[in-house]
Amino acid sequence: MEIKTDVLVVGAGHAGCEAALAAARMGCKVTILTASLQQVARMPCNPSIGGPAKAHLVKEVDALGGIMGQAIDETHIHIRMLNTSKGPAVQALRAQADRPRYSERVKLEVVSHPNIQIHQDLIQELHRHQGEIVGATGATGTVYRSGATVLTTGTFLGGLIHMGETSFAAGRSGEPPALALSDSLRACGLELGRLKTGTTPRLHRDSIDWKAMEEQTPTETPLVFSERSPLTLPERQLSCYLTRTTLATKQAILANLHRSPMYIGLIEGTGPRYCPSIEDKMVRFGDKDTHQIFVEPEGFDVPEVYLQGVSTSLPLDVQWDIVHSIPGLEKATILRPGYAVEYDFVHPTQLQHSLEVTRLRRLFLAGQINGTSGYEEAAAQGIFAGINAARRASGAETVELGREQAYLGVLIDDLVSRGTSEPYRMHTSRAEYRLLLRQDNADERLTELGYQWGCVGSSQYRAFCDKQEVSQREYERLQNTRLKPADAERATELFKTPVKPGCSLYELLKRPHIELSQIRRFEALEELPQRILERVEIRVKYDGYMKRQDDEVARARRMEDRELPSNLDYSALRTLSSEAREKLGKQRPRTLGQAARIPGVSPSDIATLLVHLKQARLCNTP
Amino acid sequence: MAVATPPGEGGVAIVRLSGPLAPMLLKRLHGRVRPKWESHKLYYGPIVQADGQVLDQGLVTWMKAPHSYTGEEVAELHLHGGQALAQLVVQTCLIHGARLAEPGEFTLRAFLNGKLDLTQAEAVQQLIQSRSQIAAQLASRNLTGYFSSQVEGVRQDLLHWLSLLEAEIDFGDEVPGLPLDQSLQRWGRAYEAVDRLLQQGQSGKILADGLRTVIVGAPNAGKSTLMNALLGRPRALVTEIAGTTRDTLEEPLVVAGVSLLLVDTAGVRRDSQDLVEQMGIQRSRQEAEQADLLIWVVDGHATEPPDPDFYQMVFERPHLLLLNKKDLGLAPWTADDQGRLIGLPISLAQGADELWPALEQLVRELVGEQSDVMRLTHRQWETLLRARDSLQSLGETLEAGLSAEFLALDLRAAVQALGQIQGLDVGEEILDRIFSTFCLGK
Repeated sequence: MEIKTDVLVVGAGHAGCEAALAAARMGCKVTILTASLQQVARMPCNPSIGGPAKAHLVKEVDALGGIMGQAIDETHIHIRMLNTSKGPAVQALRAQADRPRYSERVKLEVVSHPNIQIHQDLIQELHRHQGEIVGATGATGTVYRSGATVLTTGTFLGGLIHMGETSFAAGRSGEPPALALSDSLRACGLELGRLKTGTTPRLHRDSIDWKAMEEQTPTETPLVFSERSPLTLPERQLSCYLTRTTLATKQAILANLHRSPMYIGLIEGTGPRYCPSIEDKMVRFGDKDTHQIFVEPEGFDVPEVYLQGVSTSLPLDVQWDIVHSIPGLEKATILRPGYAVEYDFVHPTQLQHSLEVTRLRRLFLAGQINGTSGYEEAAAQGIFAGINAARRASGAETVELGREQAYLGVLIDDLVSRGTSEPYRMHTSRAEYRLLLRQDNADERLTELGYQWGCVGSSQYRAFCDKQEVSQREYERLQNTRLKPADAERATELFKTPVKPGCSLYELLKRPHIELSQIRRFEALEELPQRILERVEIRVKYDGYMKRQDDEVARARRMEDRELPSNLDYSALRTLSSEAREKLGKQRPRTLGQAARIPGVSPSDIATLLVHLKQARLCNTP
Repeated sequence: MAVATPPGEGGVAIVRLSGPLAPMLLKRLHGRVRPKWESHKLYYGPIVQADGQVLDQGLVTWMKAPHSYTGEEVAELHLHGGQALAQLVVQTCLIHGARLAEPGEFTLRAFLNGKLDLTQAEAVQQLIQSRSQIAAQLASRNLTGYFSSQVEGVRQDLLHWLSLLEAEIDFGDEVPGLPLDQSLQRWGRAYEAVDRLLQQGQSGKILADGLRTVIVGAPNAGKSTLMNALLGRPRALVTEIAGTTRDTLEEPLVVAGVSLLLVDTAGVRRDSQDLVEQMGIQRSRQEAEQADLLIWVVDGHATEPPDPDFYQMVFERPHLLLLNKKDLGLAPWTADDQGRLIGLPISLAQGADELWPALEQLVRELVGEQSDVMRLTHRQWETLLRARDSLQSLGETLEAGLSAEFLALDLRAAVQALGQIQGLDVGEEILDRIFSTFCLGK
């Protein structure tokens, strides 16, 4: 059988679903292939979405018309804002998902889209024709012909699960891996690496002594990820709980290290530094007697409870001992054991900033196959790969995002310029223009672009334009309104700070502890929507810091705008270090800025390139 | 290719060639056929022109890449001294296809080839340009990386602090914020350290360039007498007529081992009618504003205290106030309310002996501890200033009580500035630190 489609998406996780939906919104015919139709947009690890930098990615996906934000807003059991003691750039939402309901919500969106077909099949081989990927063959024997292909294979690519001394080939607990595809990618000339990630044991809700732990309550004010979700407080939420490991935990682990696949060398993949297994924590931080453990429900009607902080691949009997050594869990039942999974990834330095493979046109990669970790990172790459696959399939040029435009731009540039040797997770510290890349302005940064690209619908775009217009009007009104003597006197009294006549509302709002809503009440004006108040307030209060970052962006532009000739023969530049010669020749960065971010390219290599560019210019001018 | 020894008559002149063709050129210039050339060995023999005519008998050597100063193939010809001979050899090299090096090109190539870091490369340039022995000593200290290691120490401290802030931002659940008093302590330490580096650089500048010491005062207060007394010989014209010195005079002088450039100026008075004198006064003010050190001579016997306008300008700068003509008896205004003299009483007409100890002490204070003195390049100086500005702004952000991400903005700028002195990037380093310091992760 043969199926023709514009965009073929392999995998139906967070990356695959966003990629398919974006391409479908852009008018492409999309075919999704998944190993199991029952397993769409699952959360095999932590049942939460958001947190610093990750929430920012969710907002960006939302600003580009993606589903993740709306889906979690509708299906969470607990939401709160993190970093509330800090400024707007690093405050971050985090929600605990109702795991099955979240998956159902995304699946519904995917299967009900008229442009999307979803099939259960496993890819065996990619079809290459003159340096382009033009389709694939599935395990069912079906031949798929596509204008562009997006691979989002997650941990399925060469997946191998470890639990204690046993290991077996699998993509996720209870699901088959994709083994043939790795060979097909290698045959196409791609370089693959191996990574590892782990998950924690799941406990039975009713076997836990909740009172023995510290309760973490959800928000009491309305919070949402999506600009398209109504800003209301959920009817029902659940708490999460905090407990700690004990000395007995440490003893149980250290006494059984010889049975850990990590420590006896069964696992070759590199694990993430930011998410070490519990055995890693005990060894690397031996001086610490106790570690925090978060106990998180997985849904309203779900018996499983997630044990955050206890990722492990130790044998099951040791997992029981570990769990029982923790206060509140002394009598807990393990429903599903923790395990480690190893999988193949494609070194992302082989990609363009559009997420297209450099030497295999029409093939796009997103998610864990690029060496990342996390649902949000996957979804963000997915939507961007989907946008570019749709453009490629319809004959348009692919697009890119800069580091100053989005966390997504930082993420992709980090991967493509620097590569990764561990599962890559987004942190706010990776974004040098952090104060510009906020949760609250994701739409300002991306929605206009998304509308041009066709992945943002007209109703979302109109709502955005309205919001911008009202915000701008309010901003100008604040600048142009000056206080009369009587009002200044009244303001002095009300705000408990000296206010001179002629002071503008803008200047008044700039002062600490004065809020826009207070000013509007003072003026006897009706309240504006919360989202608009927030936008205007941040713009006024942090104006100086934003300007500084704008200046930094402008300075960096000088390096980013310096294009390197695409035919530059690096091997002839003998003054470059040999490592720089090799890496530059292989990755062929487009600009000097990108070149500077490649590890192994030193500042003196950049100086050499600058000298060379200058000389080349001198030679070219008559 | 360039002549590597200074122009003029010397015992030896060295012509240096650098680049892939250097060994081939060397073979052509060396008039003797050798079956084997070894790197870093001296060979004796004739040095010949393109037509085979012998120019000189001398030593030649070849240094194989990358084991040379520039990191490239390097050849050197050691000739008998003399400009004409060296020029002939240079011409021969040109005929063979070599090109004259730009000034500093060998050092540039050494930098580009990773043989020197930026600070070291700059130190070499300075060393070459040093005029005095002490300046050369300071430059060579830079060459050994003394300055780099000082800067690196501060940078590491700031980087550690930054990693604490970044951990607090990205892992707020797990990492508590730094208490304000600890932040202030860290800030104070860093600010002081950078300030000290600037101070040491300032001292280095003084040692290498000398102190511009400007003598100011009202007409006929005794400025020119002072100049002559300090120099131990008449240099300035001294008369009874106020306003004799109309232009500035400059003379070098060594005090406490530091060279001073002594500048005598026209007397400053408010009511001068003479146009030439007015112009002189204008120059005096400019001189005073650019001075590293001011010596203010006042007539202590005069009934009126000196021009109050002048006080501020003098007291803002390192200065020495001399109350001249004490032999005639000092006027009451020369003492403050507690009866203490406001300056050093002296009688310049009888000599300047009493002045020396005070002047020496002041110069020593200005130069500081000689052991930590550094000579900074303009770029290093600017970058350090930028680091200090960032720390200044960080202090303000701390004071305003803003949160970690705002502190991080200034801190990152400071770390970047310090890193730029050595040419380093910050990104990954911070994450490495976070993960090696904290046990993080869920």
